[in-house]
Amino acid sequence: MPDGDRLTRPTPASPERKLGDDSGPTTPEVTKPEGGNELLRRMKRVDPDQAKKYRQRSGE
Amino acid sequence: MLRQILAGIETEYGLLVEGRGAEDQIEDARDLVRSLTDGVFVGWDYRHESPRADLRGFRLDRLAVDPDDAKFDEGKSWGKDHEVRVDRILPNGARFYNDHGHPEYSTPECWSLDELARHDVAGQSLVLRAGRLFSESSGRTAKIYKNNTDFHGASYGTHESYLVPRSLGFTALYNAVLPMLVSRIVLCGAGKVGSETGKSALYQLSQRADFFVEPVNAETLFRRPVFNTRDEAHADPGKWIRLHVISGDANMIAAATRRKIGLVKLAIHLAEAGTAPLWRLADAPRTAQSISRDETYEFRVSLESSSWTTAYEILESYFAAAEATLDLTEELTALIHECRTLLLQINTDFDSFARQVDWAAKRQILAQIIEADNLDWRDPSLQAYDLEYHNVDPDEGLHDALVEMGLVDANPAFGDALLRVAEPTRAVARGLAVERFRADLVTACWRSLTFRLGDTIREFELPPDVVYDAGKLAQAHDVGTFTRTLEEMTCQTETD
Repeated sequence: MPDGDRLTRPTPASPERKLGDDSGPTTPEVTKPEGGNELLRRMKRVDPDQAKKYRQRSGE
Repeated sequence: MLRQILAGIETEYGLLVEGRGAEDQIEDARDLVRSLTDGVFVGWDYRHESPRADLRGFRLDRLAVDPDDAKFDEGKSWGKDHEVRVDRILPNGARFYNDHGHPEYSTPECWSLDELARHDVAGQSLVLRAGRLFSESSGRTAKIYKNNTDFHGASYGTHESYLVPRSLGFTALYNAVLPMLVSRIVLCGAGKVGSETGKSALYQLSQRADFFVEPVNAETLFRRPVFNTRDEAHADPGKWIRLHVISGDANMIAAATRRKIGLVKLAIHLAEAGTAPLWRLADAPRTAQSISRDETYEFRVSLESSSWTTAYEILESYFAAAEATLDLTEELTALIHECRTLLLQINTDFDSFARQVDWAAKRQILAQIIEADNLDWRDPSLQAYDLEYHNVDPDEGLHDALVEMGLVDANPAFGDALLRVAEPTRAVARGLAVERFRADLVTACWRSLTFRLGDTIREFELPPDVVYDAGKLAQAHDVGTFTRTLEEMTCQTETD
């Protein structure tokens, strides 16, 4: 049976990277599709303010 | 061989109706659900529901409510519960109703991962159909979203249910499942632009992680926990627990739905075998949030002992324990192989990873729009594209665009899933009762069917661990034969 302690290690004094860094996602490299782009066609139909208007009740 | 674990998924859908707001949502969702009339049974049985019972052996006086939602309800009276919820039971044994202003599709109970994922996809189609019927009758366009956030602080759930023997007990279940719920975000998150609580983020892996504030409790609407302890068995509570998982995201990619369920089943099997890895998380909700926000893909997890590990190591420990101690089914063996492959691909082949994981697929969409329109990750319009990823209309949704372009694996055809469940679970009996004998059905729910038989009304239990032979039940041409066949299958007598 695996033992949780076996895989642990000391916490370093300072984290290598701070959360909340606002430079945005930087990894990994993403290949872009070629040819006719259905995605971009649909994106052009999206109302850029749609999410601002989108208000919901809390659910479970 | 491992026992089969009965499971189901309940999805509360987002609803945007032209010219209407959140204050109208309960009426709109009610009318949307009510627009579905063909072949359904109306008459859900609420008697066995117990949302305030806690697995840890006590009962809450009341459940917390969201204060913002309470403002919407000021001065309003919604009427009786059943008039607002307008429950429908479908010929496949599923439930469709209005849950706090969200159309909710609860799949029929399934044993296999494939069958459950197929029914989850079928649910999208059903809710879309109801939305179109609602638009025709109301004259208002309705958009349906399979997501979990409105980006303004309101969240709604995609819940999973797993049937577990009561004898396993809370502690073993909690210890085995909690680390999995936090770690599986890496492989099952649906992705989100921005954050709604806590530290700011530009892009997250999870839709729901922002909304969990405690490791464990019985709440679902406010102060939500990572591990929910609602004790509502939907079966004989002396024999069964229904593990009610509320921390997962709604997945557009059926393979992710399948994986999400499979990973929790793996944890339950290990709990039952007494061989689950022992991980003590320092703070489960904060860990879920930090994994969700980790742009480095390191996925560090702080442990109680002031040490740390990673989500990769936690997941691998479950896989190794399962291989070493369980008599794995083909389904679970394949699941482990798939997960290991994906965990390698995150950092080596992101395009392949994104074919099967929603947060990565959505991230590709956002990367494209950022480049095409010269935006950056802070642009508020990105939330609109995030939302449209979850639009269930195949002619509009961005997830469907990725499928059409061959960038994401297509979901399985759901075929006749809205008419029947292909496995002999108790949903077969419920579905056939609705399809053939709904005129004789008085009320029904997950655990029982109540029929009018001549001058008497009688409730028939649907034990969850019985094999319900669809062929035999379908041979019954009258309700008396149907209930007698059901009794023989479930070994019930008048005195049961």
